[in-house]
Amino acid sequence: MKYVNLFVCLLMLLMVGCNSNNKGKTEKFQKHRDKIINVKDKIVDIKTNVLFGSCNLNIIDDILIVSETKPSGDKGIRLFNKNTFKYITSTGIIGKGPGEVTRQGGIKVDIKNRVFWVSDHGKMVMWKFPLDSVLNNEMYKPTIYLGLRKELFIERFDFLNDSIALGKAVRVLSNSSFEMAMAKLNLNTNKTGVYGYEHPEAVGKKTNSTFKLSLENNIYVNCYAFCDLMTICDLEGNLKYNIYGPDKLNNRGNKNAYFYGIDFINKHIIASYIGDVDIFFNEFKRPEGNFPSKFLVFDMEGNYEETIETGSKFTFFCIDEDNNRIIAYFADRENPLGYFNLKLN
Amino acid sequence: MNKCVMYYLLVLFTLIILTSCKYHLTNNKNNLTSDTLLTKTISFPNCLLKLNGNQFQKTDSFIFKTEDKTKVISIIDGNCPKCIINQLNNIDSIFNSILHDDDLLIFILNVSKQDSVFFMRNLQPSIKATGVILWDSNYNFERQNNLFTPNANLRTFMVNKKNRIIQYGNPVMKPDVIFEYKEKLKSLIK
Repeated sequence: MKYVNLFVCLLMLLMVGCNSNNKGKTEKFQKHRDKIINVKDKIVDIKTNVLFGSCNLNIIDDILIVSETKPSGDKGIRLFNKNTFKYITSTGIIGKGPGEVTRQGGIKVDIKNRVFWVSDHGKMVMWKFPLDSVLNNEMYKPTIYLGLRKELFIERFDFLNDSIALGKAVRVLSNSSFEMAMAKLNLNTNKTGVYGYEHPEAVGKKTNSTFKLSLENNIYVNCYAFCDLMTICDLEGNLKYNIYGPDKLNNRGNKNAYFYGIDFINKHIIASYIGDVDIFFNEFKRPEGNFPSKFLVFDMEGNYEETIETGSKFTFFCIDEDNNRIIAYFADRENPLGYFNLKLN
Repeated sequence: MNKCVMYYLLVLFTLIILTSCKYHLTNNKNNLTSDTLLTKTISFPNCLLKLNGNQFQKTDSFIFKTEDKTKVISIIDGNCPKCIINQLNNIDSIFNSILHDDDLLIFILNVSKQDSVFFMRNLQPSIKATGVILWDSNYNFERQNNLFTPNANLRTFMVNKKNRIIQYGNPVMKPDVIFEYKEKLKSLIK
């Protein structure tokens, strides 16, 4: 009888073990991310002849595209040679006229077709800028656009092919609130529909995430701003991995902020990470949004590899794969634009 | 005997609860802050600029004119449309309904140098206020007068002819405070 009880206990343990093992295939918990590499002294200032404020950074071929979040000149987008950082031209004329950008929003690049799309939240459209047209005509005004005046409009996306884009869309809830949803946009019909896996517990404000797609690796990744969570899905929208950081989804009142941006290099996922309060009071006792100062590096299955600490707060970044470096816009350095070389395995 | 002990314990417990409730009330943060704010005398730094439409003017002559006048001063952060429409414009229209011809309504508009072009292009056209706007590019007014506070309610106040703060509170955030301003203005006339 004693052995029967023991056998039943073992059988139960085995069953529980098998069950948790199944879940373990998709759910990964990382309590410690403590392999820190400091690059503070390795940041190289990029000195340009053109002045600009906080900006998004993207690369197409040899061109670094710098798009200001609050354009201060007549144009909001500057183009530089990514190798020499020599200024090439500017585009995105600010204004209310035809082909002018009224309130510049995010920018997304279609590397394959040498095109970039710029959101205009004044006219509620997304303008198409072919790179060759911009390079040949400094007064170029786009004529092709996609309307954004919809309940669900795509904001952070990448191109699956010539006509389909996948990414995070904004769902307007009221004049002052929104949530985000994974979506698919057909560029030919301008129809946006929900697509793919969403974490069931990331709801409301917690749906806010940055998105990046890798055709080469057949995955897309969402890094969440208000959850210590990264989801990796295949291009059909099926979940591959949920990667939980030390705080998991325990962010009461969304007071903490986690991921800010994401990109790929070779077989690595690189995500900028805050892991601290979202809003703090600055020296003038004003609430100020927090920015990341570090990058978390993962492999393509979401396994943690290392943390790159820059020692400075930065807003946006991009990866120059040819030169194996990260270019970032730093918020607290005298010369805000800078880069450092990557040494990843 | 047991019942008696229980009775005394209950009374003691009730007393502790009541005392702790009272303690919480007397430690109201606003009361503590108001005391320090109401003792202050303010002055205007010379580096402020007067924003007149989309033009900037020096403030020397204006500051001279403000002497011996009752003034309502509101510090506005000019970094979002909401700050202009919900704060600056609304505060202006509320105070205009109670201020006398001789009184002044002054806005200290904080806009950093790097945001100034964006402000003039996108936010300045939304200004509908009739009060005087003094442009501050580096929190000079608050720094000079030691007025830094995370509580936005304490960034609107009234000063008497001697530039001493006599009333504070933002009527957009706390609508009832406008009656207190009204009373203070009445008492100043007497």
